[in-house]
Amino acid sequence: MKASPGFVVVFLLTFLVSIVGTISALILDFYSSWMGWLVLGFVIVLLWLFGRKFIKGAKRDVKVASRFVKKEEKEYPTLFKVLHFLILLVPVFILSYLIYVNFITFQEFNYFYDIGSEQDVSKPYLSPLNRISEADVNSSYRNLTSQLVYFNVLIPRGSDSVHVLVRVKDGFPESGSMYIGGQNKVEWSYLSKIVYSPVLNLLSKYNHTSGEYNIYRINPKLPIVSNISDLPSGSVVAENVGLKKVPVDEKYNLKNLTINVGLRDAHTFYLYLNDSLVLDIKKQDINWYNGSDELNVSLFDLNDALLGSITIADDGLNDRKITAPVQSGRLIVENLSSGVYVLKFSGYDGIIREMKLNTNKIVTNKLFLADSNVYLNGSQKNSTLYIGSNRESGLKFVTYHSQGVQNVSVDGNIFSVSNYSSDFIYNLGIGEQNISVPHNDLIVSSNSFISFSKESFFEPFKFVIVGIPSDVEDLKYVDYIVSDYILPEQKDGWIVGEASFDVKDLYIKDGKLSMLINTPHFAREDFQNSTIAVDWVNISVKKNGF
Amino acid sequence: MVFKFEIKGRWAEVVNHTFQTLLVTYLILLLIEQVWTTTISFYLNLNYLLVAVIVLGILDVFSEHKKEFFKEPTKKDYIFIGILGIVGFAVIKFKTASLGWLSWVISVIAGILIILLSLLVLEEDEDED
Repeated sequence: MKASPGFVVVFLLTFLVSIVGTISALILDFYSSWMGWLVLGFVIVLLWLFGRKFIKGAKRDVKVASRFVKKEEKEYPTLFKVLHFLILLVPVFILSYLIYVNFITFQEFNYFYDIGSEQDVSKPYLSPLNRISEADVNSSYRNLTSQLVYFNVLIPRGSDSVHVLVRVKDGFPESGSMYIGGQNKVEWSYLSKIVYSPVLNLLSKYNHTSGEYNIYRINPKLPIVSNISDLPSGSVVAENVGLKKVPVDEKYNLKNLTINVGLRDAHTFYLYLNDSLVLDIKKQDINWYNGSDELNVSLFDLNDALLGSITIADDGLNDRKITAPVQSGRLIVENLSSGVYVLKFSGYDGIIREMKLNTNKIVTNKLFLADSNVYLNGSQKNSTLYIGSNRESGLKFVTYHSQGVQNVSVDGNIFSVSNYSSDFIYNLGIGEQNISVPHNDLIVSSNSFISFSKESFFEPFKFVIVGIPSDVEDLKYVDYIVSDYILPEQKDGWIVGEASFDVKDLYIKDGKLSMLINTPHFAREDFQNSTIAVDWVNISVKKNGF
Repeated sequence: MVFKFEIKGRWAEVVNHTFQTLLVTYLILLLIEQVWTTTISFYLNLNYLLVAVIVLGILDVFSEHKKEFFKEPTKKDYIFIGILGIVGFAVIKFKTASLGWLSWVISVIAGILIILLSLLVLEEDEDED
């Protein structure tokens, strides 16, 4: 029996439809096992059909093999021989050119985004459009109206560096700044460089040394240093160059510790470990938002190498009115050498209820205290924290609910967090500080390290690394600034800021780099109606050849 | 009177040869662009090449073609089809790697389809003889 061509066509079309249907079902999440069996059935039938065809074909081959003989090619005239040769040279030439431009020669690609120009009006360079103003024909620029505005840059394969110049109107408040960032991870993450900062503009009046980076001495009681390794122990270093943390050379006798403080959102802790980490975690979802609520807990070394991680799954509930069960997880990481490690908790829609660790040395710079009825009814209680600071620093409090408005006690002094969605900063002196937070639902952060008790406090690093302060006032909490900031050119009320990136530090997808203009002060309530005019962005991408 | 445009003789062979050469070049460049994004498109607009291929393809349709003599499929044909299937599988796996296990399903099925459909075409040619 021979399969007719019509049957073959119908069969193949049905097969194709079943494959497309099954893949769509898998992607759209309505896959059922019968679809898989259907596809398998088709494959078996197809194999059977071909099996038959081959056996028949093999028998027939013997009969017909000698019937066809290709005619000998006649001699070609020279003209046509040359033509054929020249035609063959076309792909050779194209491939040679592509090898040359891809691997051998130096190339520089320049992109000039004239914001507010006709091209920009027809196809805007910046996005999203609701974060920039309409282009005005007379003004030839657009205003930034929100904190994060993005643009894309084409980056050829093998590029080495990206240099960005941006021309903006000088309308920054004293605490305002502007960053240019390049995406550096698959997820939302941008490597940012400051292109304008009133704080950094003042640095020229401080003593500094220039090397790989400029090191500015802010605290006159400390020495001027020319190398990062010479920075004094215990100093606070503000930087924007990605300095590595240097652990202190201390040894501790460790005990087990249980932390019964509810925490919300992402947290980063610094631990001292001897040879292993044994961490038991209890979490409770609050299911405020749709979506899966997994908690990821990961241990890293100081070079950001992942040493171990666990994920505690979603509780399977979606209704915030139902009290979720407490779920447990255990992270064990062995064969560690004694030293400082970084423990990270991902942000998720729930509360970390308890941590049990085989170390009692654990500190952080930021805590979101969540033992509050706002999150779980009946969970409200007092929390106590400890700071053993050897430097003056600021302690910042912020809450986002009226229930978090409260009086906090810092070493016996009452400090009022009298409003929500505003920052309240307490100036910490040198020495031990005990902090009592009666109602929680409060984010507490500091340049100094914070622990849950005096016993669990330790200084993990030789010097404290913080970001560049956005406010000139905050310079008093900083001893040194390490920066590669280039003083922006100022002319006719406009500023040209610049930043450079190494392509190997960036995440480029399909030849495109996502970049952002970040103006953090727009996120603050008092600057929500302000704008910054952008005239142009000039991007230069360099690609070194051999 | 019906006007019939036809390129004949050696010139028809030149058109056919140019068309085939540029088509294969275009397909190879397209494949390279798919695997190593931007290596081609940054320096060469493949659409220009595509236009040339289409124009030559149209001319080739109006060209005289020698009657081809079909050979029986040889071992080489089957090896070539096998290689095509493996290359197709590899390219699709590479391009869909982010889909996880689904990537394996898609690329294996695609590889099998390439092989089976190529064999079908090869065998159909033979049947037509």
